[in-house]
Amino acid sequence: MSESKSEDKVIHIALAGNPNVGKSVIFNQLTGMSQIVGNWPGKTVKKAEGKCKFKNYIFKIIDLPGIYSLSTYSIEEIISREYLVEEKPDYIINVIDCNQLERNLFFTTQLQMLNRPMILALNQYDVLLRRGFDINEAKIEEMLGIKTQKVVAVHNRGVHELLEKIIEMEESGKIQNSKPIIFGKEIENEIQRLGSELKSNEILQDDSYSLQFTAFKILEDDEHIKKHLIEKNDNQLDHFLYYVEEKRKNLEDFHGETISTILNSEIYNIVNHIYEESIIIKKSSRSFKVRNFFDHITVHSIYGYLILAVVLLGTYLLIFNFGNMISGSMDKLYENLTPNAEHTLGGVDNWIYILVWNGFVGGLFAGVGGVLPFVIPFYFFIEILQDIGYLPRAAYLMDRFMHRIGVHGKTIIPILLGFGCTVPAVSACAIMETENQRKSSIIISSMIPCSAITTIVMGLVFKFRGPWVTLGLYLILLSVIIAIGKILTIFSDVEESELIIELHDFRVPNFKVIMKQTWHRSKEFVYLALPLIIILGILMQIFVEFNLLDWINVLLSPVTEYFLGLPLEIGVYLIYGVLRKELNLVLLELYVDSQGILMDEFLSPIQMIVFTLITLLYIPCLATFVVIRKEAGRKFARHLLFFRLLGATLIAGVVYWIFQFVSNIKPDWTFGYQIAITILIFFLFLYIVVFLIGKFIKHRDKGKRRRSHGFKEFAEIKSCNNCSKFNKCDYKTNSSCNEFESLE
Amino acid sequence: MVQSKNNLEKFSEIPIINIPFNTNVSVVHIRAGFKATQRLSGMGITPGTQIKILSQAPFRGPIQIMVRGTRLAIGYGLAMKIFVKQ
Ligand SMILES: Nc1nc2c(ncn2[C@@H]2O[C@H](COP(=O)(O)OP(=O)(O)O)[C@@H](O)[C@H]2O)c(=O)[nH]1
Ligand SMILES: [Mg+2]
Repeated sequence: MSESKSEDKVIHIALAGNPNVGKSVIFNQLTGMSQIVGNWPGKTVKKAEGKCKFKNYIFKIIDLPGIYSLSTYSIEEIISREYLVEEKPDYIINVIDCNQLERNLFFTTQLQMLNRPMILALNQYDVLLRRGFDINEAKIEEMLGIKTQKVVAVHNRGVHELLEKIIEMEESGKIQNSKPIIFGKEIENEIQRLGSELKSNEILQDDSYSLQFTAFKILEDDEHIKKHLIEKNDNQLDHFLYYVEEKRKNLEDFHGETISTILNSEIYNIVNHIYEESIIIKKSSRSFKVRNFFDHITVHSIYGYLILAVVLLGTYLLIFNFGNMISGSMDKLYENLTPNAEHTLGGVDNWIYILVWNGFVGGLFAGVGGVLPFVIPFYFFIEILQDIGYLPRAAYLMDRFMHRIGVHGKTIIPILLGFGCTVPAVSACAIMETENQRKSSIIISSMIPCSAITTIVMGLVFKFRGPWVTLGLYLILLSVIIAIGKILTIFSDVEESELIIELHDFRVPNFKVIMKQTWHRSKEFVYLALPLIIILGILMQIFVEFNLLDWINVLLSPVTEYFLGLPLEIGVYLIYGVLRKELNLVLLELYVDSQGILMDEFLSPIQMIVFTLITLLYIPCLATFVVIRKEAGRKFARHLLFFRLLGATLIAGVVYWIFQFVSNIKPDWTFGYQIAITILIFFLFLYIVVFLIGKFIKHRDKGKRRRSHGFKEFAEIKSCNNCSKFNKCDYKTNSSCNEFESLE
Repeated sequence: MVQSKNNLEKFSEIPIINIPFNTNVSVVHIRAGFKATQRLSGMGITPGTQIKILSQAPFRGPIQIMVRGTRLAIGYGLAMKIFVKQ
């Protein structure tokens, strides 16, 4: 740290807590603009770090992802847990929403078990008061043994006091670690015993995990802890693990529940006690009547959908028109400036003109004019919906339909955004809860035809072939998307795609927060995508200059000409689309014009469809690619690119060859009939492919047995309604339930 | 005698899906997989928890429930595996 004075002490702080409690607002209040937002290495999870100087200390703060528990349900939980135990921040600030004390304290108790210095931020205190409650801070401090601070993050109240309390602890010299929690007698005994086992056998060789946390988690059969301990002990752990297994079995048999259920219920008992002791009811409030009405109507079976349609369509049209307006005037500006540039830069044929104006400035305008006017308003729009709390309601309403195409209900948001612009759609996939869901949604939403693609479809297929053929084309696209969704479901855990989401109360949007977030996201995008777009623009001009285009066409001809039956010259226009999708068509039109023919002379009806289909399905545009790479990592982006290219070529090829087949058998039919039959045969083909993949995967998985708690086995046992021990019952092997018989 | 009463009680467990709206019930079992159970308890649903269904989205959509002062939406498939009694 060169810029800091030597006496400034550095204190590392981690903000941890449930989603939506206000961690990021606190983080922003503390760090202001000095923050770096990136991803956790190789993950789709956001990582925000920043620092602030306060009273001779430099605080380095990290905003951990919002989680509900320190188990290993999601990648966020694993990341947070590993960060806390391995990086060992000096203090943990556990941010909680004091309006949902019980559920938040559930997480607090898990943090407490880590036995690290910790402080509790009781956030959204303003809302609590407004609701007519209050909280007894002293009681909480006493019962949990940690310092607390009331905070109203959005008004910057109590935020810096958090740091003051930390400094106080630091300077008083008695940094208190959070106390271990005390469970009910039975569990407490087990944990104590396991703890002393761990200690006396020196199993826990380092101090990364605390004794209580390890004992608790090993009793819970937590895979990560188990692996950690086995590694530390060179696999000499069978004896201990067997011992734990015994203990666990005893508890499960006694309670007739799975171990995690027993332990979690135990924690909730403690938490519930704290809640009842510390919440003070003052008066019942009025202002919540109005909100209740909104809460009710937005999830209503009829009005809910109407509101959803209005919200999405309205915003979409608004942004679309706004974007087109700006984008159009930017294009005009470019055109108007061109003659001047020609003059100054030495004529159309001068290579400086071509590189600088066509390449650099052209690329700049393509990026700034063609992408930003859509991207920024869309970011703004997502932030507003996120901030007022509408998104979970949309997910609730659409979950059923989204399930049909194999994705989580929340994916409706990126999908709808995708009709405007794929870039914000891909960023919006960050709202999904697990890494797999995020990746599935990125795959699906990046296939939604954006406004640029719609321009191509309208300007080519619709214009020359009419509405029915256009509909057919979209049906092909839809069927492909559904097929991909189905294939993704085959690979994913069924329960993982089940919706579990919090519908928190509506909030009045906080425009400062929204503007800040929009700014951050747009800035990121500009830094990442704009340079690439400009470089590509210049590269393409170089291609033109050195006459490399013909070579590209020849190089692509085995695919374009022979497999897809397209004209040779079209190859290079497919490459232009990488920059901006509509360039595919715009530049092709220019070329066809220059040849003195009409578009429908240049492309036969089926060629038009194949060309458009390829454009719909193949690589996403450069800006999208950049965002995918940022959100999901290089490897994922590369794979996606590869499969999109391959898939698009295959699908367009299949459609082409089916059409060839149909038109050879029935040459006297009109084009419309031929293409209709082609599409039907294509559906059948797709169905068979998905079916076969499903069969193949199931067959392959048959040998592998899942964990005893796994979903598949449960599915076989669930017919036993007679006994409670569903995962122990031998119903499927004995064809009768032991428990049931013994009862009779 | 005690055993058969116990037995009867078992039969009175009903999936939460079949409970009318706005009725207070308490969770008896969660017969879901390991991860889903973990997730549900993180969100406040464990055996013994008092819950209440507020609404359900059409066509076997998710249900909206009230748990420990928060509202959650839970997918139909998973809701089928939460057993409650009145
Ligand atoms: N009324 C009120 N709203 C808050 C407070 N703190 C945060 N919020 C709102 O809570 C929402 C979630 O905040 P955020 O920081 O994104 O939560 P995170 O998921 O924990 O990072 C935002 O809409 C904030 O405006 C607070 O103290 N009072
Ligand atoms: Mg956040």
